[in-house]
Amino acid sequence: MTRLLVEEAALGYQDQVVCPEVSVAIPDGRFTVIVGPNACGKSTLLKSLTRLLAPSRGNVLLDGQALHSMPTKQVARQIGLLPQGPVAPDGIRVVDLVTRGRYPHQSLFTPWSPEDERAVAEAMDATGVRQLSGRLVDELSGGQRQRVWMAVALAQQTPILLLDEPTTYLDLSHQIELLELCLGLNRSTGHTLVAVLHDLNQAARYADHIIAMHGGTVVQTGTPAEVITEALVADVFGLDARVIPDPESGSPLVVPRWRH
Amino acid sequence: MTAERTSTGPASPRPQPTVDFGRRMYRIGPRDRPMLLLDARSVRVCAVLWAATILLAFYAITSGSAQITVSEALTALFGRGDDYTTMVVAEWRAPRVLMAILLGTCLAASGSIFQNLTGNPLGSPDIIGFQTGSFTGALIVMLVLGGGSAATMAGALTGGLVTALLVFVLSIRRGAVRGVRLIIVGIGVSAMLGSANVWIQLTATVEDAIMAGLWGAGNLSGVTWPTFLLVLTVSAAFLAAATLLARPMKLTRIGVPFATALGQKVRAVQVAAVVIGVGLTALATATVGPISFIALAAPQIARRLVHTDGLALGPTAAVGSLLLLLADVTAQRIHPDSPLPVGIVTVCIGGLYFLWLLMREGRTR
Ligand SMILES: Nc1ncnc2c1ncn2[C@@H]1O[C@H](COP(=O)(O)OP(=O)(O)OP(=O)(O)O)[C@@H](O)[C@H]1O
Ligand SMILES: [Mg+2]
Repeated sequence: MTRLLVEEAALGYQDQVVCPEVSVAIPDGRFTVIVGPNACGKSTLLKSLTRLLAPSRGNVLLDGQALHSMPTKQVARQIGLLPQGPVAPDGIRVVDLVTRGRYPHQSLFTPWSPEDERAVAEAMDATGVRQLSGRLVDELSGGQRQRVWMAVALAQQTPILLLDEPTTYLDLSHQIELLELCLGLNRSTGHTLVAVLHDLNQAARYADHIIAMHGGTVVQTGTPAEVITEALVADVFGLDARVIPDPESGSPLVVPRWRH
Repeated sequence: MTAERTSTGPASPRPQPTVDFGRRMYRIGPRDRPMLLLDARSVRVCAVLWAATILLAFYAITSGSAQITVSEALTALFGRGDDYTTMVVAEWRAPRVLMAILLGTCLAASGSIFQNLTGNPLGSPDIIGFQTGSFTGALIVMLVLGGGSAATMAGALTGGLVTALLVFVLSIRRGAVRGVRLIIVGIGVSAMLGSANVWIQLTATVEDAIMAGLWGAGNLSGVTWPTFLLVLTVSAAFLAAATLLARPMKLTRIGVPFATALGQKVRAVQVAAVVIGVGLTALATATVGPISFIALAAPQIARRLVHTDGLALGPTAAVGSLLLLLADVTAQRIHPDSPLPVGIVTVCIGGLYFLWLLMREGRTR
């Protein structure tokens, strides 16, 4: 079963077609990672999986229904998104930002509930920003801010979570921590996760399923072992590299060739 | 600020994990199931501001150039005074004071909405030309078509709406309106309309031009109960809509991608905000003429008083009402023999505030 499907969709912006025709199935309850060089359309594909970008041709389906014709809040209770490079309003506190993530669960008559408070507390605990909660977002470091944004997406408590480069700005240990958090969400509660990652080795370690893109098209999909090969790295990234088994996890490890 | 932390240790009676908001919050509703969170500081600031407004309103009603004592004025307010006192207090002063409070709220709410939409403290309806456009509409009706006061109101309303439309159409680029572009286009349109206004006034007779000039300065004198009630009815609808829009607008400030992913129809919220913001300003301007500075300053002052992000509609409205009433009282009392139009007072304070804002912006860039 796949809840989220892209069928022969053409994606682009006003005057420019980015993906002429993509078809992608997001496996349920799995951790999917999208890889590809800069400007190949990864964020564009992710945007089409939320309501941010309507396909000009083809379909994006959630549970068999066209995503763009569904009620907006209903979609927002199913699919969460951490966009690339979000900007916080001036003078906002961490807790107020994380609280925004509860929007699809609130209404005019229930502006706040204990469930909201619990979700906010859990999201902040999971991302380790609980002790920052009263601080101003402007005054945080880039990595702290990125974790706060992750908390906003988690507070939304959606079964499907899309993350556009969630590890940017994070130091190596926080990158690993965040990926472990995603893996934990996926393994313990069966969240469907889709993340754009630039680090192929991290992608190979954590992903169940990899989508490799190049120039607006999906080049290959499958398990890390099937996708991350010397031929694909050369083809997609134009990089001459060896692929050896990771001594820790056994997943493919990309080692660029030393040319000196 | 005394930040009483919400997590008060293991002795806390509340069972669920409580979140530290970094400031004091009031939880409204049953103890185990609060339904509403209110920022304590914001509630207190509103209470103080409204108390000050009520005191000032009493002062404005009970004092003035006519030889009426406070006790006479109070008896007249409760319908037991002599004819003259009743006329001055209940027919002249009371509607004027209430109108100042109401329009202060309208202008401040409109300013708050536009500053949030453009994400810029200068993105206020008095800066981006909507009030100048209203004046142009009023001038055309008054001086060119020779209409009465109801027609003038209609002209001002039309002028404001047409200007807003023009500014928006001119600032659309690739299907989207950007804050800074809107402000620059608005300032340009405002300057053009300003010179058109001067030209129309120059072609009129002296008496007509003086009358138009008085209207154009923004004047609260001569407000009657029927006008007040009419404006109250219309603005109540707009203000209720603005209140409903506050939460979605707050969400929009975290950016279109996030707001969309959180289930908001961003475009619909923006369009509604523009309609309500323009409506509130146009209504105020059509009623009493252009009054600047309230829309510009009230949201910023409120933000600084309550230390909040974004749209603090309640405190903003309270600041706006107090400011406009204060300006009107000042305008009447500054020279009891020849009271000034309130718009002149707000422009004077506004000029200073504007200078300070520009200097501060210049320093942070
Ligand atoms: N809002 C937009 N309007 C117009 N063109 C856009 C817009 N966003 C992206 N593009 C274009 O679409 C193409 C794909 O962009 P996209 O953001 O999907 O790349 P990406 O694969 O996410 O790259 P990166 O790794 O750098 O984030 C680029 O050529 C970009 O210039
Ligand atoms: Mg991207």
